[in-house]
Parts: sequence; structure tokens; C-alpha cells
Amino acid sequence: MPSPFSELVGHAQALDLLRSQLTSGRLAHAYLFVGEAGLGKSTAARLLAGALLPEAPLHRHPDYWEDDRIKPLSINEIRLLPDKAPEFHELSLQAFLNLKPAVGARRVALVANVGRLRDQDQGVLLKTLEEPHPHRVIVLTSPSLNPFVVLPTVVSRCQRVFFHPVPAAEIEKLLRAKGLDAERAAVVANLARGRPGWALKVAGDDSVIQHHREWTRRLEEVFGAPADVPLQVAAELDGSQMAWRRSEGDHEDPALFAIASWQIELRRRMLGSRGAEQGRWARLVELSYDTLGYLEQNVSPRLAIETFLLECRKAS
Amino acid sequence: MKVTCRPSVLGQALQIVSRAISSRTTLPILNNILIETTSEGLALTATNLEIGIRKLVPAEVSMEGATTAPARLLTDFVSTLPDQDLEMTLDGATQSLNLRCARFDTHIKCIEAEEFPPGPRPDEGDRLEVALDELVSAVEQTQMAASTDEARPVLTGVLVQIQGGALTLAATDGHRLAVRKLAATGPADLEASLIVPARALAELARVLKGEPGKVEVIISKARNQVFFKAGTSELTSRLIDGKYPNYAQVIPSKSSTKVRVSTSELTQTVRAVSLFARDSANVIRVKAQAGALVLSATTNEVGDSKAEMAADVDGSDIQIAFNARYVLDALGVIDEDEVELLFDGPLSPGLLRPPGKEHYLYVIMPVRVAMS
Repeated sequence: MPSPFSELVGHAQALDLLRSQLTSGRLAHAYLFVGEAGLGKSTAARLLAGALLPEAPLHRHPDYWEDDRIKPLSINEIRLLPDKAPEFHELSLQAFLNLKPAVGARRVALVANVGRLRDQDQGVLLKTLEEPHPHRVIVLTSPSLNPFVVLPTVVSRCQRVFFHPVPAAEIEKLLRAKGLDAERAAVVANLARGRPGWALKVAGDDSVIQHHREWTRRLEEVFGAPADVPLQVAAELDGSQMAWRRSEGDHEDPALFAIASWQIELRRRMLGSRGAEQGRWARLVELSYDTLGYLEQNVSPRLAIETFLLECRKAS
Repeated sequence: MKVTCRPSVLGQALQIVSRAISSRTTLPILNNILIETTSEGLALTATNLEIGIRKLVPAEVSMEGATTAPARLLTDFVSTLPDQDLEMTLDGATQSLNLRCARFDTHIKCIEAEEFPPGPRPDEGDRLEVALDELVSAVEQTQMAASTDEARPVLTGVLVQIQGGALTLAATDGHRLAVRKLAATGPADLEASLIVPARALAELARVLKGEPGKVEVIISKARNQVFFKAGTSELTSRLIDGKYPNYAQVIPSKSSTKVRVSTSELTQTVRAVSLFARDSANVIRVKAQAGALVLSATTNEVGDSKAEMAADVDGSDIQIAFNARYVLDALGVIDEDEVELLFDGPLSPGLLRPPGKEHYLYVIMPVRVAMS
């Protein structure tokens, strides 16, 4: 029998676990797929649901419920008897799980990015996750286990399955298989920072390559330039990031994109040099990863980028 | 697909089937009605994934086929047509449904029937028959007692029990319990216990209205759906998962006071007195004494009201308090000239039933209050 997860790349450990649970029929009642956006968590959840509900395609399967929107998740979409009828679903999640399966053997629900539900509202999920009816499988996804994103009490009621960044080579192979030319596939795979979903989404988007070239050019301008040049680039990037935070779209964080772009260039220079020069580039690559770490924490993004670019300035 | 039918009949059927369509959905196909040709004419089906409504419309089928058409547009359009033959032809390639009637020549964009969520048919399953009017009244007499509290999801449904050739409907929200039994014809050894969402049962009367006297209740083999089928109409409901509590243990088995009173008089009295209970948790006090039933309610800031009505009281005097809404709910559906109230102390549940009859009972938990 072909594996239900054959169309996913990477995540061997997570998928092996799900595959073996599918084969033995010993599925958890609730899963929490953890990993940043674009890694393939929702895709894996849909493939799992598809394997459990073979009767019809998921989009019209009466025993499948999914909420994969970007906007915040209202409690009315979750509660059994909401104050207001659910706006985006025929039945709320709890009403759906409360009913017996219609045509399948199970009812499966996917709540992508459960952190969209406010902290105080996540509590309503606890009983559902703790005492589900038999033959229910609930999959939640979350970018992290941070208690400000998903309540520890929700986490503790789910089997956690971790999704890690996929090696660029595997993403490149996937993009090549989708018909992308080798050069473009290599660039997009490196820009993807391990996220095949993101890579597939932007594969045909020329603006991504243009942005990448633009940020590479800005980095090259920084090398050996007076201090005001890197500070100017950092200010611009900070401004773009502020605008991105205010927007509601699902675009890439411009700071993360720029750093991924710079990492490609720094890595290229590192591999093309020898001796002390190679060491200098290697140190900058390492510093770029530190900067990504700072951005995940409460460090001022502008300060982190300024520090990084000022180091880059000294490199050449 | 090519069929000919009368717009008036089709329009009526479309309106009934459209009751299963909700205005908001992430699944656009659920805004559509499945239209299929069958040996009996045209079958219309709609679902909101909790309930499904199917209706057969007499039609002359020239060519078989199926599609799904937008419910609202089709219903609104057909309702405006003159009552002359309506010819509906589907172009399978473009999924365009052509409607020709009198001076109208209309095309409606449809979605393939294959996109419609699959649903089981009641071809297999256990069957029994009950009288339609009795089933409708049984639903009316019980479903108002179903819970609207999500703490216990099973209580949001009505328990439908089939045992010994009889059908029992029961609903409770923890404060009151309504139980109605009705005779059924079917296999004597058939036993089943189903929890049907109260919302689904509420549609039953509307969907089966005007159908001939008997309803076929069909329970799917997997015990996951129930079908109510009468004449050309059919209502399908998914079932709530879980174990319904043993409600029989809260039905009082003995009583120290039995009161017999006119239903209409009691309804009118409770309604009037309860106006003074609105701000005090809707609590009315009931005092049964020789030959009379005294009802009273007080709210300090509003005032008080007391009413005495003639009643046939058998047994010891008693004072007890109830939520007036629960009493009125039962009185509104009991459908008898007189009603019997049974009490067994101020803190024991009260029982309300038609005098001398066993088919319906309504248990109300009393409210603990300081009695004068």
C-alpha cells in the first residue's frame, strides 16, 4: 500500500510515527503538530485525515472539519452552543465532534495554528481534547509551544509531533520535480529556510527572486562602506518589518527574508574563499544565525540587524 | 437530464428542502440543492451536515441525470413562475440548467452532483412505523426540555428509545424532564437508543407537514443516523455520540399530594402570577390545600401577586416552588383539558401529566425557597 505521506518531503521521524500509528490503528485522540509555518504540518494533517477518511475527498467529506484561515479564530467557531452561530462553518467544532460519523469510521478535525484562538478561549478546548468520543481524531498545529501561543494545558492533552526544517537539498529536489529550472530551484530552496510549503508557494513568483537580488545588492553595498550605509539599510528593513506587522496578509517577514537572502550570499563567498578570509565569512554566517535567534526573542529587530550589518561592513 | 414538472409543486418542495440550507458556509456546495432523477420523479436533497432533507417531486423524466443548483436562486425563481409545465434540461458539459416555462427561458449555473457530500440512503436499516401526528406532538412535548447548556452535550439531544414495539422520546436539561411514549409497529425484538439533536427534531413537523398518516423511522445499520420518512418527504439526522443518563431514576414513584386542575386556568394563572417573578429567578410558589391551589410570586422591588384557583386536591397540604417557565412550557404542550400535578414534599420533584394517562409525563425539580 503506498504511504499516505509520499507527497511530503522531509519530516521522516514525524511521518514514521504517524505511519506506524495508522498501520496499527492506535491513533492518538489529539495531536499537536509543532513547527513554523510552511513546513508541512497542515499538509501532513490533511494526508492523515485523507487516510482515515477514504470515502470522499476531504473538501466534501461530511466527517471532516478544518479551520486553516489566517484570521483569528473566534470562540463561536469552537463552542458547542455558541452565543452567535459560527460564521465560517456549518457546525462549530464541538458540535461537529459531538455527532457520530456520517459515512466514515471516524470524524477528523484540523485546527491550523491553534494560537489564533485567544488564550482565555483556548480553555474551551480542554474538555474536547481530554474526553473525546471514540473514533475522533483532532489535529492542532502551532508554530511553537510557547505558553503565550498555546496553553500548556492544551499542549499536555495532545500527542506532540515535531516538524523540523527540511534540508535545502530536499526542497530543491521537490521544486525540480515540480518543473522549476535548476538555478531558480536552488535559490528558492535556500531562501525557504527549510519550509517546503513556502518554497512551493513562491516557486512561480518572480518578485521573490527580484527581492532576493535586491537584498543581496544591498548587502554588497555594505561591505567596506561608511557606517551610515549599514545603518540606513537596517532602518529601511526595520520600516518594512513594521509595515509587515501592521498588514494582515500572509507575506513573509521581510527581515527574515532579507537575512535568508544574505545567508545565501555569505555562504557563496565562504565556499569561494580560502584561509582567513573563509573564516571571516564563516563567522558572518554564524552571526546571521545568531541574529535570527535575536529576532525570535525580545531584542529590538533594528538593533539586531544594525549590529549584524556593521559586522558585515568590516568583513571586506 | 431532462424533466418536466409543475412549478407550484416544485416550488413548494424547494422551500421545504431549503430549510436545511444555512446562509453561511465555507463549503459552497452546501448552498446547493442536489437534483436527481429517480423512478418516481425528481428527488431534491439539501444538507447542512447535521440534518438532510429530501423530497420527491412528481415529474416526467425524459432523460436521467443529476446536478446541484443554487438553492436560493432556484427557489426564488421557481416561485415566480406561472403554473404551466416547466421543462428543465441540464447540459452535462457546462453544468448549465435550462428552465423553460411559459415566456421564460433561463439558464442557471450548477455544480456537478459528484461534488455533493455523500450521505447514506435508508435502504438498509431497522424500520418501524408510527403515526405522524403522534410523532409530531411527541417531539413538541419533549424537545423544549432539551438542554441548551454545553456542559453535557448529550443533553442537547432528545433520547429516542425503541423497545418492545414502542417508541419513547425523552429530554432533560437537569431541571426538568419530559418523557413521551407512543405506539409503534415494527419488529418486536428491535431495541435501539439514539440521541437525536433537538434542532433536527424541531424541523420534523415542517418537513413532514401534509404527508399521509404514517412515518417510517429508519435507523441505519451503523446506528449513526436516523431517517424519518413519510410519503414523499424524508428528514435525515446525524446522531449525537455518548451515553444518555438513566432518566428513569428521577421520575417520582410515589406522591403524597395529587392535584387535578383545569389546564387553561392554570396556564393563565401561572402566566399572570409569574410577571411578579421575573426579577426573582422566575420562581413561583405553589400551595395545595383542600379544594384549592394557591399560586404566588414576590419581587421586593416590584410587588407581589397571589391567585387562588379551584382544584381537586387529594392528600396532604403542601407548599412548593418552581421555575414558572418550566411549568408554562409543559402546560403549553400537554394538549389536555385537565392536568394532574403530583407532589411528594417541597424538595422532591413534582410530576405533571395528563390525568389517568401514562403516555406523557413531565418532571420538574423544585426550587428551594423560604416558605411562609
